[in-house]
Amino acid sequence: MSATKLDIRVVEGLSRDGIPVPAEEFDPVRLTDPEEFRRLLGAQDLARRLLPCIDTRAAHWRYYLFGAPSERGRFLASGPRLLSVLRQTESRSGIGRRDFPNYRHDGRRSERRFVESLQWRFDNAYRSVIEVFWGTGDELPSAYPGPPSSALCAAAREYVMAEDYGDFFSNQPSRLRYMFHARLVSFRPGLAEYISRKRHSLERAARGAAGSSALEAEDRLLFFAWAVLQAYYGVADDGSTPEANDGDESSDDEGVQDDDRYYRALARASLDLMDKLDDRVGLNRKQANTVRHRLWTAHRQKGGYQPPVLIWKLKNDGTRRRIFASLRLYAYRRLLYSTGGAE
Amino acid sequence: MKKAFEKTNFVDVLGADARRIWAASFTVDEHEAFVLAYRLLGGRITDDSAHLTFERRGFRRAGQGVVPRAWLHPFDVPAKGTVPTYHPKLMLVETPAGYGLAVSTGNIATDDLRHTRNLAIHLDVSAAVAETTVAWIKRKPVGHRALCFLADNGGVGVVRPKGNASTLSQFTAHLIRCSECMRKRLRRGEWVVAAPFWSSGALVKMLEAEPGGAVEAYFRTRSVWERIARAARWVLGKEALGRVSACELREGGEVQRWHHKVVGWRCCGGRHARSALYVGSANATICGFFGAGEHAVNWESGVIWRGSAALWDYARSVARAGFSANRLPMPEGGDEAVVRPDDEIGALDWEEMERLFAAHLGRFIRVNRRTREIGRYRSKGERIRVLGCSWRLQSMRLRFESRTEIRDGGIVRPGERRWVPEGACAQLHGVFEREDGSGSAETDLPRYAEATLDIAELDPEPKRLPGDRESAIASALAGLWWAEWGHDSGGQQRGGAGGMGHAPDDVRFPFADFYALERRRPLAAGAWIERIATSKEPALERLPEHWRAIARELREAL
Repeated sequence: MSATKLDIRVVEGLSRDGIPVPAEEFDPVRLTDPEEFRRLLGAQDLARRLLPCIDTRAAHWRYYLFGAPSERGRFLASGPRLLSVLRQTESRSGIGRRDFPNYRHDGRRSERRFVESLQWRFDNAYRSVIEVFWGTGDELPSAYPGPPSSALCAAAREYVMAEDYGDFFSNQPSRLRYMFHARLVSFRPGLAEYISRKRHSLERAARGAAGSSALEAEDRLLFFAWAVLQAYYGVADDGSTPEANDGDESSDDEGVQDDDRYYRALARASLDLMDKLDDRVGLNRKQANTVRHRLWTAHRQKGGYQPPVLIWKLKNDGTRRRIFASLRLYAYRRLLYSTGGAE
Repeated sequence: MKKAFEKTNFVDVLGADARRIWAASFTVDEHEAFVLAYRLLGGRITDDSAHLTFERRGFRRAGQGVVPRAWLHPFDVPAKGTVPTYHPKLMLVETPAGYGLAVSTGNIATDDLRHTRNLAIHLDVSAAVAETTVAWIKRKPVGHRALCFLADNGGVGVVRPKGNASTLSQFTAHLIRCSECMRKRLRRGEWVVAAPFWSSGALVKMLEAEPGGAVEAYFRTRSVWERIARAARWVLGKEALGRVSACELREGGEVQRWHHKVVGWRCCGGRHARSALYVGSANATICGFFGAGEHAVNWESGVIWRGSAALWDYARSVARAGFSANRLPMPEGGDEAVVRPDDEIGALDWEEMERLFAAHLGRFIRVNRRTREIGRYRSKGERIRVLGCSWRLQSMRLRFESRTEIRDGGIVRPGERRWVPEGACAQLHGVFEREDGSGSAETDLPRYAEATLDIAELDPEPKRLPGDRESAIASALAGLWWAEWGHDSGGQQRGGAGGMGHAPDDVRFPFADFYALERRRPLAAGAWIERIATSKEPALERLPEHWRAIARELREAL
């Protein structure tokens, strides 16, 4: 047969429209895909609703201060001040820290463009949460606790305008830090107090969440989603962001001890929370039973912890697989700790 | 070299007027199989209208079931030494005009048909070839695992090898070199190979077969190439590996998901070079295309063509499947002997671990449809060797899936037989435990591995929806209706919201669609018009009378 007579084609699936498939009676299990599981739990929406002033990318509390409004509702310019932060802190951390050494040693680079890029990154990571935090957004969420105190606004503006940023990334106790912490707590007082009482350890907090009277059902749901996703797939939430680029500073000095003990504790916490929450976890009975059975098996197996579903921790392109970035719990703990914990 | 490949589906290829279907596939998604069969059969679903053979671990049940259980013929591969895979992708249909065969690189699975690029070839085959193919699908012969069709001289034949010859053996048996290569006894042939899964041994075999030749290899991910290259370099040395040109396939700068398997060959770069092309199910692995020794390991199916120098160019474009090729650099760093020549390395998937062990779980069971019993073999030790380690079947449990829960049916002990009640959807769940000190790679592996098998052939029979007037007319329209009538240019369905379930309000004879089909597939168009004109099927009697009159006129004119 000559080559021209060959007819090799790309094959595709057929249209399913109009196929008289009987109505599905079986509840599906569908618990192997992490994103599907997260969607079933409603974890992202819940986290957005409970913690609207938090974003995983918003790692340093002093950046929030750039959004403090004046009494007349005016804002401070943040671009040049972002550059001042880098200059005064020797780019130890924060937005633009990776580009800053190149910028400083390359005299041909435009300062205006560098400031623009800093501003873009800042807006990307902080703008939406800052608007909620200071109550300057057009639409405020239901969890908004009311406007911030004028003392906090004034202290924040004073700090920003002073442009003395040597201590920008330090967490030394101060009046401003105290007021900021109080504002942060006001968004979810019960949860914040509970996390502080557990010494800012989310693992401990998850373990005790089922029996705590300080938490509401939604807080428990958030802890359940956070714990079960990690225990089920064996991927730890280390607080880093899904799109690690220069604007995300959270990946430095973060990390969890994702050992067998950690996963076992989360599996146990998930089981306890499932018992407590019963049918509010967003899973059908078949799914709930499957999760319960698999977690229990994983928890009691001898030897190293083996998650019920094995997924590759790295994607094909070598980047780390992330499935928890939107749960915001880790970011909230981080801000609470840096503003309310010991220096 | 980049060629835009025409897209098609199995109904375009095989028509929608099939009487019976025989299909072989590694994985089967039940919904996908139902859609395919429904379209091919024109809605005439009966217990004996299809025969699906697949590997048991590859079946994905659709809730309470969709396809008649009589269609399902799961295959538990025999496991002596290396566990083979039942891996063909083949579909044969009997139509009023004869037999049509589609050889594909994709399984009857949503992932393969909707999210991954696959290729298919349509062949009109004789009754004798069809008979052989049906027998191969039904019997799964251990002594003839690699089924190859030879498309040559305008006809299609089945290669009948001696013994269980590998696809490579059957391929090379039909290679012819040009007169110059024959006269000078040159072995400078070139290979072009695209496959999602590779063994380093495959690369070694190709380079050794053509000492003066080269290999153009397409990989799905860079990491696969790097591991294969390091292992091959360890065996052959750096110079030999310099004859390999590795590429990945991209579109719009993005690495693409593809699943086709293509092997092309030519004897030399001369104008009168002879060449050959294979397209089928076999990956570029020892278990797939190349075989262990001369013998096939997996059950595979594919088509071989022989041709002139032009076929080589076509083979290269088929290997790229419409994507653009991006050259991959030679990996740096030390040689890596950890990868063995017969290790299969391919696109990673989280499910693979479970699938791997599901094949072994299938080794321990026997299913009796008549008595509705599942038995567990009494075997010594029940140890298996997977991923370089020894594993023990720690427990096997029977479970029953119902509408709202999965109920435990208890432990199945060695030598025990368990009866599955009518109306129950049975599952077997096995836990394998890795034995200490059983392999060098054990640190990378979990201590326990679980696997679940659906025993779908014992499921209750799914409900059938009774045919109504609309679907009867719609089934009569089959053959022309799907591609052209299913959607109009604005994306709105014509003929009612239900598509298949409702006939179009406008029942004018579809002349344009008919002539389009006649151009594309004259035999199918002829069969369709014959059916409309003469068939006594009750469904067709509900058609407007003028259809039959027009069909008779057209039949005379054809």
